[in-house]
Amino acid sequence: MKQTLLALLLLAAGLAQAADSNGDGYISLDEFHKDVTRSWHALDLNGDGHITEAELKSMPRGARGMLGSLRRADADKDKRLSFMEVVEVRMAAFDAADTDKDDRLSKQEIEAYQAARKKKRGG
Amino acid sequence: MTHVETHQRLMATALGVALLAMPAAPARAAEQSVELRSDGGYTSQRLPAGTRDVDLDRQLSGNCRFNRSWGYDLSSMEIWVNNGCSARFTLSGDFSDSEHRSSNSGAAIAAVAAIAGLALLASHHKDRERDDDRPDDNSGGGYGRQLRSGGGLCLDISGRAVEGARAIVFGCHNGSNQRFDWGRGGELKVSGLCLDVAGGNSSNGAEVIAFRCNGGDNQRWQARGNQIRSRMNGKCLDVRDGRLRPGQAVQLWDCNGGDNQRWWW
Repeated sequence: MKQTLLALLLLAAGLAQAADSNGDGYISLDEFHKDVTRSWHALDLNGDGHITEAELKSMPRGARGMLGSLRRADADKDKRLSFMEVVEVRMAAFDAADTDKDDRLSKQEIEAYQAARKKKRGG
Repeated sequence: MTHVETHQRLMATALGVALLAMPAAPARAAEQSVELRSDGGYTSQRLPAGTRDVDLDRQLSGNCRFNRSWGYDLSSMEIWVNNGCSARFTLSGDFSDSEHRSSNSGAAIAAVAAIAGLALLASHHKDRERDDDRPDDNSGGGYGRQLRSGGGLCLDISGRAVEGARAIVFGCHNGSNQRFDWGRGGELKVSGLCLDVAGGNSSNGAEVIAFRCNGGDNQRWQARGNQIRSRMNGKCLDVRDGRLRPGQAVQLWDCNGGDNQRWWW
């Protein structure tokens, strides 16, 4: 578990920079939407348009602890995630983080969002 | 139109095509352009099979905002506009065979974290760039990476990586007999040897071993999603009998989408 957290922290550190493909210091909505699609393809392994339990079961160990949290995203409770279900939860996060509603995320907004999430989970 | 103008226009077109094609190669096989216009209401169109990415190329009128006035659905394969948004979109099709990242465990973990709401962003690499320098949970300090199978096991050369030693799956320990590197020709290198289909045997059940690199087709592999296929015949690296347990042999088998043919690194 410790290792997972460490890996996540390491990932998070590099994330914002990498997703900001034009390097202007902000994550635009377009950059964010690319991030959503790219990560979708990392999980819909057979490309059938849904992330299924079978695909998640074969996930590396580091991800398994988080699978329970995915159920929240499964709005129609059919035990698989559609593209729109994923877009909805990801966009909800974007909108929540984008506190000044300029459709882009500053470094401060990202950090504030992550910090609030962490607090909510009890650190 | 004069001759010169025609020529210039042709040049411009050729340049445009080249510019469009250059960043796409080799990561993308095809791009298409579609235009959608909303006269205030909702309009949708079917996406061609194999579409993996949609980008707003140019807004023509209205206020196009992702997920509010335009969007797409890779489950039902549709693209839509609404509320007066009209725009030209670029559709990117199938990724080429050399797309290794789709099975990268870091990318998968990050994707889960983002959907679970634990992280805001999932991407940790830029388009088209090799991402060898990104943080990884199994880089292990040395060169080469572990190739994980299901059951918490790793691709492993039995005992020590010496010529003729068999490929198996084993508990991950990140030893030198578990660290693999992609060579330029699609070789999977381990301790200076190459992952090799013994004797170039192309039938199901063919043994996979470590052998001195010789550039043969039986030593060339390609990642396809989470599968690792032999370039010799397209068959998959497969854990024998689907039994994911330490010491189980790894072989070549027809690709069937099974868990015992999925690899992560």
